[in-house]
Order: sequence, then structure tokens, then C-alpha cells
Amino acid sequence: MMITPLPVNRDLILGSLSKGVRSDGRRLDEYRPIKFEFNVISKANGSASVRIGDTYVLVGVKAEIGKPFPDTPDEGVLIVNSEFVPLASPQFEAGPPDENSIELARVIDRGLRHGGAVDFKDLCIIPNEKVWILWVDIYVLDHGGDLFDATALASIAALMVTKIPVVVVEGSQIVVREEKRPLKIVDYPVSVTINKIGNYLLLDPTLEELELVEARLTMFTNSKGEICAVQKGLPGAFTYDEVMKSVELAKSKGRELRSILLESFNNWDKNVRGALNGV
Amino acid sequence: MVSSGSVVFPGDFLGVIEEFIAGDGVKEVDGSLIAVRFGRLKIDVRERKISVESKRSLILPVAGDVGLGYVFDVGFESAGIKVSYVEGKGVLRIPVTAYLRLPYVSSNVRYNSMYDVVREGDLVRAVFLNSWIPYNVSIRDNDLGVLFARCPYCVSPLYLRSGRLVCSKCNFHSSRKFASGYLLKM
Amino acid sequence: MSGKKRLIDENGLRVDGRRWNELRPLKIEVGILSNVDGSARIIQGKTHILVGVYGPRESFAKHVSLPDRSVVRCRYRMAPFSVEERKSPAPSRREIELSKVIREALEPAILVEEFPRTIIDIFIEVLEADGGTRCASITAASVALADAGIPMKDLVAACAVGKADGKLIVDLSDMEDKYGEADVPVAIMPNKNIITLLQMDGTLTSDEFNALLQLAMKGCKRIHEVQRKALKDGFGEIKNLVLEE
Repeated sequence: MMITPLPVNRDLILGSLSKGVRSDGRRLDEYRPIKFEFNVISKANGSASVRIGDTYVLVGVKAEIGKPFPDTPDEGVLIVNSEFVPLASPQFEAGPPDENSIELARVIDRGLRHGGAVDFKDLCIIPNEKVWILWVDIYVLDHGGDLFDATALASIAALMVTKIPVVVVEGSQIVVREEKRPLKIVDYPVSVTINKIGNYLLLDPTLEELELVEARLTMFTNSKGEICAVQKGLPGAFTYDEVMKSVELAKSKGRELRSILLESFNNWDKNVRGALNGV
Repeated sequence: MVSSGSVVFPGDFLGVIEEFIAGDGVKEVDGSLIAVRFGRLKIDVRERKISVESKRSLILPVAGDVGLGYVFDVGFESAGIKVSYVEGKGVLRIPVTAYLRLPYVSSNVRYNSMYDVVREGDLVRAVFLNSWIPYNVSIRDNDLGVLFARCPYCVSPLYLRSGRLVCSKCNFHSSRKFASGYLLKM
Repeated sequence: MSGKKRLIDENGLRVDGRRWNELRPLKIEVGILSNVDGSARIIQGKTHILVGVYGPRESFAKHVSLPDRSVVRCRYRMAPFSVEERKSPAPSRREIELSKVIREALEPAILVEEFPRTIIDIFIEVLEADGGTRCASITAASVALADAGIPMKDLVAACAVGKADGKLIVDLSDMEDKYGEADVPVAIMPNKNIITLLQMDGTLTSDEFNALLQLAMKGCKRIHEVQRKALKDGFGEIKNLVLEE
């Protein structure tokens, strides 16, 4: 259930937006601090959690051997699923995924797929018969405003640390070995979601600001700066100029997010390797 | 040993009824006083009252609180209000439903029906009469009543002009029990 | 016992190197979520659970509320990546049963009569499961309820005990739970010393049962200390918890 914002709130937020600052002191195109945690779930093949301010999401990747889709017989399968668990927000009801949760999962799926995150051919074991199926399960644990960008970051981060067992084909038999190997990560697609309030475009809205957001534009970019998935959401609309401005924002901010992601990953990787070598 | 300011947990033994009177967050069980919430102990020496203060003690409105909310349902004799804000306490996470009945509308003016008092969508300031669900509220005082309303025909905001609510666009006069602090004045 | 995994070695140490009366490292964090009224995270060994509490709040569905008391609802769910083989997100019969026993373990402590016609919602999300999830859920949920300021007669602390390779053990891991001879989850209200959860899976003599129950209650009391510390400082931890015999 939505709580109708009191009129005071709206004026306050719009007033501060017109000055180019937000109620928490950020610029319009500024994200709250972003924090990564890698491999938080040891039972998953790969996992990562991301916090952007109050937003807290966790993504776990599970790998299974299964049948490929008939139209892509030599490619692995990626399935993205999302759960808005009720402890994340009083507005999330217990029960099967609603339209918001399905929309999020499908947009992330497209972003990862068209962003060329994973080499799907690398996931093929026996063409037409057996391939790796990657289940990407998104858990929204605390709703702090910007779910798309946080889950996109967490999803690619989880894939980056995902390890699948090495398999050997002997005749028609598949032997699953103990040792594990990482996925072939080809690109790092990230999403930047532009939120429109009045005539202002802002990134990473707080929950308070989110209540006033009229329209939302999620844009995935890859490391070449190409746009690889777009989704417009909410009942409002964008002008042509706003869309083009959003493209620029998505590219420049996407680059920023990607470097934060890679830097966090490298730091984590160095620590893990350091710990292994040190012992 | 219990002392003012110390941290207590649910189930902690605080003393016996001969020593203190149970205040907020304290319950008497078989002659013993037990903390029933997590927080800091407060001992009022003069009144011999012991209570537990918690930063989360606000959960639901109590009698005497003044709330802000939107009218969501109007009948002939009563109206339903979703209260989402309590003055001095803040925004309620989950709005509570409160009912306004005709006898609690005004002490000097007689309204025949609730339709002359509030309409659906009005923003109302009202005082809680009880501390439990279902809540009842009153708007008898001068500073209580409708704070903001829209014209039922053209949906433009209504302005307060010489004691009446008038639509800024179509000049339609609307009857309401408005508060002295009505937001739009002309 | 042939063909079964050995759970206790010749030195009396368990699969993860613990002694029979040693609990796994336990960590409780309080108030970690921003949108709920009360929350807690518990990490016990590899078991990792998040609990959020809403309420008391008005019930939107009138038929679930009661005129004289608050209704407590509890939802225990496991994340698809929390276990070895991916779990479907649809609720299983096990999750439905656990939701019920967890609720009934917590309810005796809650002063439900203070808030008639309201609902208290407890949401438990198991992010990683490695045995003892129901006990960890109860321990964390009770802390989350206290964090929400909900009046309670007492906290509720829970601890699992059991038997593996003919020996009594505390705080079972997933393997000991699966391959051991018995599993006894227990929850108590530590100040009142009354039991609010008691289940048993397996076979035990009455002497063993008696010994285990006493052991579990000792364990609960130690966990209660961590709960209190977590509430007070926002964080509570015990790295090496060995129960005295």
C-alpha cells in the first residue's frame, strides 16, 4: 500500500532539487556510498551483496547441469529470478513474485545477456544434450530506493566470483570433478537508473524521493559504452532531450560504477590470493 | 541492583510491588515487577514509579495524540480517516484507520450529515479519543478539522475566503468543518 | 553404523573439529534493516539468517484480527541458494511447519493482549543453511521483537542438541543433523526457565533425553547472554562457547 505523501514533503524535496542539492546533501547525479561483499554464501557457486546507502541486495548463483534451449543447442542457460522478501519493505507482501519483482528479474536478465557478461558457449558440455544452467537468484533485503542498479551490480559481481565444477565427457558419460573453475566473464554490464521528478533527473533516489518519482529509465551499458538494455518504468513520461541526457548519464555513471565494481573485486581478489599465498 | 539509567531486557526482575508502582514497559507478575521491553530504566523517586524507556516505544497512537490523515470513506453518520502522521511523534510506518462520528465534529454548530463535514480525499487534523483499534477521533476544537480539500466538481484546490471554502476555478462553495490552520487562504 | 559417515573421530572431535559440548561461533547483529520495526542478523557457524519484524500494526484483512489480542504471524523461508541443491522459491511443507513451531515458540513470551486487533509479523529469511536454522531463527526473532519495542515477558533463546555416533552433542551442524541418531531443538524463556520449543527427531533413551534437555537449557542460557549483549551494543559475539559438563 502506498502512503500518500504529505504536501509539505513534496515542496521540500522539489525546493531543494531546484537548488541542485538533495535533502541528504547529495548532488542530483550522485550515488550514495556503494559497498560490495563477495562470496557471502558458501553454499552458492557464487554470490555477492551490494549496499547503496540503505539499499541492500544479495544475489546468489547456483549452477546445475540441464538441457539447453532448442534454438541455442551449444549455449548455456541463464535464469534470473527475484524475490522481494517482506522484511525489505512494509510494501512487499508475502507471496509469489509480483509484477515489480518479475520486471526487475527480466530487466537484469536482458542486461546480463545483451551486455555479453558471460560466454555462453563456454557453458556447453554436450551440444543439444547437456549444458550448465546458471540460476541467478536476486534477494532484495532492504529497500532503500534504487533496486535496479544495486541488483545489476550484485548480479554481475556474483557471476564474477562464480565457480563451477570442471566436467569431463567420457563417451556419453559426464564426469563431474571436485575441482572448480571460474566462468568466462566477457564484459561487465552495469545499469544506471534515471529517475524523473518534475523537470529534474536524479540518480539513486531515497525512499522519500522515490514516492515522488514520476518515471524511471533503466539503462545498461557495457564496457565499450554501448547501451545494451533499456527499460522505462512507472506511469510518467520522458521528453526526447531527457532521454538523450539520460544516455549520457548512463554512459558516464556506468563507467564510474564499473570502476567501483572492478576496484572492489580486485581488492577482494588480492586479499583472497594474499591469504592463500601467505599460509 | 536496579538504578535509573541502567539497561534492562525483557524478563529482567526489577523489584517487588512494595517498592515501586509499575509504569510504562513494566508489568507486575505475582508480586514481582518485570521489565517487558528493552530500554533504559527510569525511576521516579517521588511517585515511586518505575518504567522502561525505549527509543522504539512509539508504535501506535494513544488518546490525546493529534494526527494528520486522509479521509478515505464518508458515510451519513461517520467517516473513515487513514492517519499517517502523529504530531510530535512522526510518520507512522503503517497508517492506522480512525473513525470520526457526528457528535465529535463540533460543539456549537450542528451538522446534519457527515457529507457537510468532510469529503473523500480531504486532509484532516484530528485528536485521538482512545488508544486502541478501532480508533475514534474528534475534530471539535477550533484548530482541528479539514486542512486541505479539493472541489468535488473540477478537482482544483479549495481556498478559505471569509469563513467559507471556495473553489479557485469554478467558484463552487463547499461546506466543511475546516481547521483554523486551513492551508490555502485567500 | 557401517557405511555411514563417521561423525566423531577417535580423539572425540567432531567433523568440524569441535568437542561434543562446544557450540559454533555465534554472532548476532541488531537493527540492520531500515524499513522494518525491528531486525536482527544471526550467524552461527555457516548458518546465516535475517529476521525482520513489523508491528503491532493494523491488519488489512479484518478476518485475521482478534478483538482481545494481537495476532502473531511468522514466515520462515529459505533462499534458493541457501542449500547444496537449489531450492525452489515456492514454500515447502517443511517451511510451513517450521513457520508454525517458531511462531509457537515465540508467542508465549509476547504480551499479545496489550494490542487488540493488531498483527505482529515476523519474517525469517534463511540466506545460508548449515543446520540449526530453526533454533537460530528463534534466537534472532526474539531479539528482533525486542528491537521493535514489542512488550515481552522474556526473551526466547534456542539451542539444538542431539546424538551422533553414540555420543551426545550440542549445536548440530547440517551433517550431524542428517547422519546423526537424534536431533533435539529446544527453546526456553531464560528468566522463567520454561520451555517453549521442544522437538525430537530420532531415538534416545529417557536418560539420554534428560541429559540432552539439561544440556540444551544450559546452551540457551549462554545464548541468552549473547542476545542481551547484541541488544545493548548492537552486536554480540561468542567465538568459543564450551558448555560445562
